[in-house]
Amino acid sequence: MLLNINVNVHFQIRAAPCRNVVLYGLEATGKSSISKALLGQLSPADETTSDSEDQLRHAIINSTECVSGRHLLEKTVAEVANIVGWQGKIGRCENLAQLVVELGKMLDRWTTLDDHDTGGKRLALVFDGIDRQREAPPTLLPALARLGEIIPNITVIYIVTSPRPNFLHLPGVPHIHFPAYTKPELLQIISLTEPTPQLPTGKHDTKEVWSRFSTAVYESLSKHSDRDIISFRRVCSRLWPRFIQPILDGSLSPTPFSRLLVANRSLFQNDAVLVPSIISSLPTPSTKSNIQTQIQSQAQTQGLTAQLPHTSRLLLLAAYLASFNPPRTDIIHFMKSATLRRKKKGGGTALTSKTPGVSKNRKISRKLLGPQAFVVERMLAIFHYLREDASVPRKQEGRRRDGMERREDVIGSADLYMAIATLSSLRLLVKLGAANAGDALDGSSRYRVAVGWDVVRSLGRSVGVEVEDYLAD
Amino acid sequence: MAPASPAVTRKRSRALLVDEALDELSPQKEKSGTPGLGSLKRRKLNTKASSSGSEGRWGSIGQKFSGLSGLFGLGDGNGKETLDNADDVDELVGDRDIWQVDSTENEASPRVKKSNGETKSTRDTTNVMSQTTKPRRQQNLKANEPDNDIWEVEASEEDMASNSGAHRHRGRGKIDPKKSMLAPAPMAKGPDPSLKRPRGRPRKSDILRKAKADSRQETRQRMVSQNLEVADAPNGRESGRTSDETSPQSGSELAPSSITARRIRGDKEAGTPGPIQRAPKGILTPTKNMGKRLGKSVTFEQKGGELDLGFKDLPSSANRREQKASLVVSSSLDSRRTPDNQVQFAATGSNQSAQSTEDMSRTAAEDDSSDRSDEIVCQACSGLRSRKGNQILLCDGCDFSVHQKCYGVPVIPEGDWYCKECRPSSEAEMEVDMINGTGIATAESNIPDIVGLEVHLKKIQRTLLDRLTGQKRIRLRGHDEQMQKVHQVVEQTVLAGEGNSMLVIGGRGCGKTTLVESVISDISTDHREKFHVVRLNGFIHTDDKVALREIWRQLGREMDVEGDLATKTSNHADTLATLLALLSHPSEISGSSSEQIAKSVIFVLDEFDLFTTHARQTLLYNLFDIAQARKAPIAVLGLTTRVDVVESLEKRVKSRFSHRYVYLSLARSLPMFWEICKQGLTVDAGEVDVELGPEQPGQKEFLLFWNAMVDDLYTNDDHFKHYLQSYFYRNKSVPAFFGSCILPIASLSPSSLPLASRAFLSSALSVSPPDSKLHILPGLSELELALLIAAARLDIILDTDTCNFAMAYDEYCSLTSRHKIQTSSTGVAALGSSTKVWGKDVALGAWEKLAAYELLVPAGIGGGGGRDFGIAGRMMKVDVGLEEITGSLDGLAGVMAKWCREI
Repeated sequence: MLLNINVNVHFQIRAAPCRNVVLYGLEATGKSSISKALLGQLSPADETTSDSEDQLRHAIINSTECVSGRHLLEKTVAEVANIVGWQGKIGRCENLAQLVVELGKMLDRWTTLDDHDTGGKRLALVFDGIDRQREAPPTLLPALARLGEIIPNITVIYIVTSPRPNFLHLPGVPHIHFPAYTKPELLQIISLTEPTPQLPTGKHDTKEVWSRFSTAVYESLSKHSDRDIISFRRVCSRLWPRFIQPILDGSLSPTPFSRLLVANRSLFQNDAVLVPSIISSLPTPSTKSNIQTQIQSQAQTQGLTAQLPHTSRLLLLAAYLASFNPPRTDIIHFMKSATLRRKKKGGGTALTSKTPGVSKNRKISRKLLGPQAFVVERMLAIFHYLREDASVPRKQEGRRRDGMERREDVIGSADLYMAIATLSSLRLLVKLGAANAGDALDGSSRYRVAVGWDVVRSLGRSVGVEVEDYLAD
Repeated sequence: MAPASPAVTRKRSRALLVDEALDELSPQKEKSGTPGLGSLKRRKLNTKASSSGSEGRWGSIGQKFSGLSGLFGLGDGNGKETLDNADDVDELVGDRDIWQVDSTENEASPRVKKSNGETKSTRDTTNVMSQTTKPRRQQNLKANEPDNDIWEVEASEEDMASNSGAHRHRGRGKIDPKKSMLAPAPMAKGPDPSLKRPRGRPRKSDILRKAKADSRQETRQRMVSQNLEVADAPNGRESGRTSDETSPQSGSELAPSSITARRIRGDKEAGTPGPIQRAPKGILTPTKNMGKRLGKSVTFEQKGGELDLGFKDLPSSANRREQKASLVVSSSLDSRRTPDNQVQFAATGSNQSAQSTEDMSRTAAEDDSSDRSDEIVCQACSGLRSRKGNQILLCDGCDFSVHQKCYGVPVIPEGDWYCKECRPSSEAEMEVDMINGTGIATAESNIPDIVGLEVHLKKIQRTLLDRLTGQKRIRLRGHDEQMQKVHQVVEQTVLAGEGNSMLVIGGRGCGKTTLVESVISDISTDHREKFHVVRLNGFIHTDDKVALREIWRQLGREMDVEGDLATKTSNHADTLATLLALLSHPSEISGSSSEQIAKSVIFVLDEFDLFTTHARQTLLYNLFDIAQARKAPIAVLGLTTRVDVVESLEKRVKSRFSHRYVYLSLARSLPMFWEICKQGLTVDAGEVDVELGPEQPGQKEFLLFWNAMVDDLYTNDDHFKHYLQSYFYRNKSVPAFFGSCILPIASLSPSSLPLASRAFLSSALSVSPPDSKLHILPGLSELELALLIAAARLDIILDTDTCNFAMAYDEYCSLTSRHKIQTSSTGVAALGSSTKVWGKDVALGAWEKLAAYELLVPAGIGGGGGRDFGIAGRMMKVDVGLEEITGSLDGLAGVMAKWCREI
């Protein structure tokens, strides 16, 4: 397959000088590396070895390195100037028209530089990931596609993930597909990489164990979530040191692989390794890693609850309830006289119970629809109700704390607005509308909560509020 | 078919002759009108005369009878008319007899060579007959033979023209009674319909079968039958063959006719009873046959026989009456039949069994009329002539008729010939051969031995690839008129100094740029120094400022304006002012009329519609204004794909536009499309010097071979044609086709020389853009796929087209856990992690990937998103359908396939 593509690309660029070529395929299917290798092969490193009649140069511009459209254009001009050995001044390149002019000038000079026949000189301009270009001018792609019409000896190669239909606004552009790797291909490629801690028993053993290990990883993890070669390799290399730990310890030998596998079963059941995180939380090779991760995640939420003051926690709870409860149910949940009704709510009757997935027109759970906007006043009303509720168990605990709470009540509302502003600056609450429109603490400004259900539940427990009681569902 | 074709010729000429006669006969008939038309009219006449119902029939019969009686001088006005007609016919019959005899002499001559004695004898007999008919007719006026003939003719023609069997039947019914009236007593009416029906029935079935076939087909059929008759006469062998050939067409009638044929033979073998029996039946028709047929040949005797057959099917009691009545006439006829003819007939009768009774009886009845309407029209050129070397061929499968040359059949094939529609079924085996590679193998053997084959191949590859990739322009085909228009406009500007503006509108890849560029290069061959060209592209020059600078730059370069001038004009207004000054006529600025002539400038605005989006359309306004106000000789050519582009022009701009348009259309038909595409694959003889350089040994041969090879690919290779068709019917895009041709041409080498269709069809080297996003699916991991399916399911379940991550994940969890429960309850070992519910974070990663692949697209701008929520909180639309997912994945896990199936 690769050979096919190789031949194909080769033909497109060399034998038949197309103006535009599109290479497309999913991530990590070798588009960039193949085109780079091929072009490197086609364009000789130095002048001496090149055929005089046929010169191909290439410039690769990676869109991910360019922060704006203009950056891309400037970079393109600079690259081309570098490639063709342009001595003159490089003009500013603010827009596409200037790019065309500059490139035209450079290539014109380049092709007429030598005395001999200039027909063979060609420039291949590779735009890697051009479909992900930030702040690209709207006509960037069609304009680049017309480069070939204006400048005769240029071939533009676009590397894209999934081309939109007719995205160049030009019919008949050859598209070359890079299909995703199949399982055998993936395993074969992985087996070529050398695992970093080698086994003490030797290279051969290492290779053997590595290939079987990678198969196990593929079957248990990568097949399901990270299928492409890069993340597959990453997962393998992350798990490998822990996988061979028993061997290094001397507790197990590499030969019965199944025993090794059983010993490391937990490694393949844990999906924490698939979640990218900056903090390298490599769980120690123990069977208790599940518990550990739970603790870790708890620690994260605990961190939030621990760091926020009591009032802010209550405010966040109120914001969550305001976001996820429809306003019309407020009267049921939060009216002072409705306490009894609320209590009743717990036991559902046979009539109300539903089996999910049976009816054709299921009700979408409100929780799933995401947070809705609410006005600050509504949140404050809920907050006041919650504060009372939260204080109930504490009263039972002891009078002293209760007194403290009372004092807070007395202090007034200025702190509340402060807390809201803090939460908003922490991005736990999100203000809707334009960033600077209106007063952030205006009673009618609209907010939305930005924390999820699991966080809120633990928050609620930390202040003694069962959030489920207040959720309309 | 070969033996039949001379007969076709013969029929033709005779039909022509008869046509002339007919024109005299019926004044309404237009000269040289198609037989169908004439017959139609006559049919109308007939139906008018015979209004519906039995009374009407009676009336019509009466009318006709009066017409007939008019012959005896009894008729009223109407009758007189018919009488006149009848008289005409009489004369005509006389004429025709002469003509016919002549024509038989002339055209039968080839056949005479084959069987001299026989033909001559037949001719003799016909002559004798023709002589004898006249006296017979005179003495037989009571029987009203000629008139009857006329009616008969009408009836049959009506048959041929009408498609509704019922109608025809009625007409026939009318005539039949009338005919029977000719018989002594009107009481014949009762039995008559029943008497005629057997004859009519097969014909009805036949007509129904061919209900769709037009009158031409009818004609052709009749002609074939006549051919048979004609051919029968000289030698039975020939007729046998022809009848065999026709047998497939008249299959449905085969059974009855064979029965009757057997009966005939029986009659013949019986000897004397035959003639006697025939005589009575011939009462109505045979006699007229005689009258008309005479000249024809022996054939009419068969008709007599056939008619016998028809009657024989009837109850003999019905025949009796007529027998008595017509005995005189037919006996006289029979007596004239030479014994050898009878023998012949007996011999050929069996062969003729294939022929339909209908044909027989009809031709018998019609004889001349059939000649008249016998025109076989070539369906390609509508020509009527069937000359030697370019004869009209008739398909043996359908009723397709065409000239040899029009259809590309150099030699009339032995045996059956089929048109292209009928051929595939019969040539399916050949295609199989092709697929198996035998066809290719044979083709490979005929690479010509040409000097320097490799060099020539390289050269032509180079040339063609340049064309395919757009490095060299191809010539525009089929837009001569448009080209002329554009050429005129540009020329007016360049030579006469006019200001012009024009829009060239056409779809992508239809050749707008090619048109304009070829016009410009055409003009620049003579007048290069008289004009400048400024080319702008709406994609590149995205606002007026940029465009103006570009104009300034291009003009400056061409006009050799000093560089500092270009740099001096830094702002928009300056540029515009200088440019206007440059473009305006000198006299306008200086006020004095100097003799200086401004050079004309041609502006080519590609993607013209994008220029209309520029602020206030300043550039367009100024350009059009200059063009219209004759300030300077400029031509503004706008190229666009949008038909409604003028609507987007501002009023003041629109009023300055000349409203000249040129519309280019894509190829309208497949041959047209091929004509254009062919340029990418062949080099014309005229372009050889330009394209391939100086003549070299073997070049001519190689070119011939190459072009023949490409032609062959189109004409003979069904796979290639199908491939071409797929491009034609999908987008008609020539560039797209060219793009797909690059690889096959580029990878051609002397060893793989005959370009075969498989080079185009191999999917591994496909360079076409993907049809949809579904090509992504095989590369997805199982979690991504499961989430996608869950999201697509929600589409249907919730009846909304949007969903967010939480909803899709919830659905995924419930699906997976349900599956887990099922598998555990049924005791199926849970296969490792296949039933594992992946965590929210992992799933979110998968969800983000789906969004990155654009399988999930954000639903609207305010879709609950905002920058603070990321992909997870945003409402998304699923861009693939649930049923598409199953369709595009072969290795889909059983569970997921089930999820796709069951909601």
